This record gives sequence, structure tokens and C-alpha cells, in this order.
Amino acid sequence: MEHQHTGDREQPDFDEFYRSACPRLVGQLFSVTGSVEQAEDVVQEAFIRSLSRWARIQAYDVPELWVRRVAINLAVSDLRRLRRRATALLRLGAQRPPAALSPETADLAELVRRVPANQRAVLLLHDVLDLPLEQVAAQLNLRVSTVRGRLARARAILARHVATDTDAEGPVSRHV
Amino acid sequence: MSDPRDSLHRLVEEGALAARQPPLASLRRRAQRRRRARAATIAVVLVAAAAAALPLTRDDHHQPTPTTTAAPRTLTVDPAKTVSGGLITISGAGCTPGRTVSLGLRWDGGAPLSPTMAQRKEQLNPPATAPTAGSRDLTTTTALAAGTFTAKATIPADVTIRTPTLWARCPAPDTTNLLTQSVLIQINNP
Repeated sequence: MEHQHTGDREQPDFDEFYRSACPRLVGQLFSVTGSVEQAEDVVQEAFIRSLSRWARIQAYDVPELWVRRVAINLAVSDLRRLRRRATALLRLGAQRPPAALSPETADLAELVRRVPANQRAVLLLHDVLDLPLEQVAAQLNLRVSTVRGRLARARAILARHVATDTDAEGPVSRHV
Repeated sequence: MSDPRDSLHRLVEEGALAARQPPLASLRRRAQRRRRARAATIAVVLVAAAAAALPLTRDDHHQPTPTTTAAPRTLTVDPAKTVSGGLITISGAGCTPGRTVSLGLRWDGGAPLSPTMAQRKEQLNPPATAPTAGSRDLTTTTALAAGTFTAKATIPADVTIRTPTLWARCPAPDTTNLLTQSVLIQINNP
């Protein structure tokens, strides 16, 4: 059984990996979920899954890639997200205080939520983590053309909403 | 608001700062609970499977009255390997006598194709797999008194799926449900 291979010898490595990678991954997944709480949930779920497979995952060049891919898949899947959210609410008794965010970031998170979830994953990997399109496609199991299309649509949605919100804030110069 | 790309970077940075990290012990407990639940599920499934497989024994001398045994549910196709446009004979059992039996083919998207010679001549690189799932009604027949049926059908010439599923649907005896049986056939076009 796979999880039984996770002996004490591997635990210190996992501790260090978890401590260092968790906040970074939550930040990255925040750009996919648009919510710090959901990002925390999917990242924790991904770490739990990696814990039971750690003997195999620790042999990877970059174990973080595995956790991030699982977390992205979880974030993109609405069904799983709803189920996980319900579980998290039960576990936490809905007592978790909201994350402290600046107003600008909270606004931006609101904008990000208007982009379809599968397009946000492409935004994260390409525009935030600067991965080339080929690597994004490989990590998401997509064709490069699909990645390019999603990226263009996501940027367009984001730019349109940014422009709309800026217009709504007051008169600004328009670059026509 | 500034460039969306810069904003996304800020979002990620602030998200990382705002991240609350539960203690590793909590994660371990959840993983352990999950392993136990999984093991319990496997145990329940194994016990259920064993109970279903083992014959039940009775200690008393009561002889149960014979129960009505449903007719065997079988579906056979002859020949099992054919070509597009080929004639096949389909036989089966388990239907309500006198009721209509529908027969047809279905396949999934991505199913391998067996293009005909004509298609290979027309297209240099004919598609290797079906772009979408599909189905085709073949024929209908009537179940005989014993619930069996036999029908001859022709595979449509434009159906070039390599291994489609042939299905037969009929009302099952003693129930209002429809009984669907299926069998894979092979279409190997020369």
C-alpha cells in the first residue's frame, strides 16, 4: 500500500517542504480561486494527498509542481470545490476569519473571479509564473493552441473589467 | 488600476502573505483519518463481495419452494467479426415473450475507426478515431415464447467503428424495467 511507505525517515523533508511551499502555493492558487480561503482549502487538500504519496513524490525534481497541479485541478473542478468547501465549513465550524487583504487586492480578486476558472489557471502559470506556453500546456494536459486561446480570452476579460472599473471610478484619460 | 499582469503578481504575493497554514499535525491527522476511511470502505466492499459469492446455507430442513428463474440473459452475434455493410445474425434471450426487441449499435467519441477502402482512397489521411460518440438503430424483432429472439441485420455501410457495441433492448419479464444487453463486435474493413 502506497501510504505505508511514508516512514519517519521522510517526514522531516515533508515538514520542510510543507512549511516553505504552502504559503507560496496559497498565493498562487489565490489567483485561480479568487479567494484566499478556497486557495487554502485546495492547497491543504493537495498537501494531504501528497503526504500519502510522499515516498514517490519526494523523488521528483520539483515536488511542488505535483502539489500545484493537484491544487489547480481541485480549484478548477466546481463539484469538488463545493464538496470540499462544505467539508471545510463542517471542520472549521465556519469560524475562520476572513483573510486580511488590502482593498486593491480584494478588488482584483473580485475581478479574477469573473474569469472562468480554467482560464485563471493558464493566467497563473503563464502570466504570473512566466512559464512558456508549451510548459503550461504540458502541466494542464492541454494543447498549446488551447492554452493560447484561454490566455487571450482571460486577458481580454481582465482588461475589459479593469477598464470598466477604472471608468467607474472617475474620469480618466482614454488611450484610443 | 495598473497593468493586469503586475496586479496578478501583487495578488499572488499578498495571497502568500495572507495564507494561514494549519499545523502539519492537523494535516497528518486528516490524512490518517482518510486512510482509515478508505481501508474501512475496502473492507466493507470485500465482505459484501465475499457474502455475495459464498452460497448461503440453511440449518433447518425447510425446502424452499422453487423460485421462478429468469431466462438466461445472453446476446450473441454471428459472425462476431464483420465488415461495414456486412450481414449479421443476432440472438439473445431474457425478454418478455411477444414483446418488441430493439437492436442497435453505439460507440464512444474517440473510438478507433476501420476505414473502408473507398474512404482510404478518397482521403489521404482518414481520421483514426470517431470525433464524437454515436449510435445507430439496426432493426427490431419480437421475442418468442421462451423469451429468446433472433434477428438478421446489416451493418450500415457508413459505420466504420472498429469495435462498436451492439445492444439489444426489450422489456424484462416480471418487471417494468427495460433489459439492455450488449456485446462488442468487430468491424475489420479490408
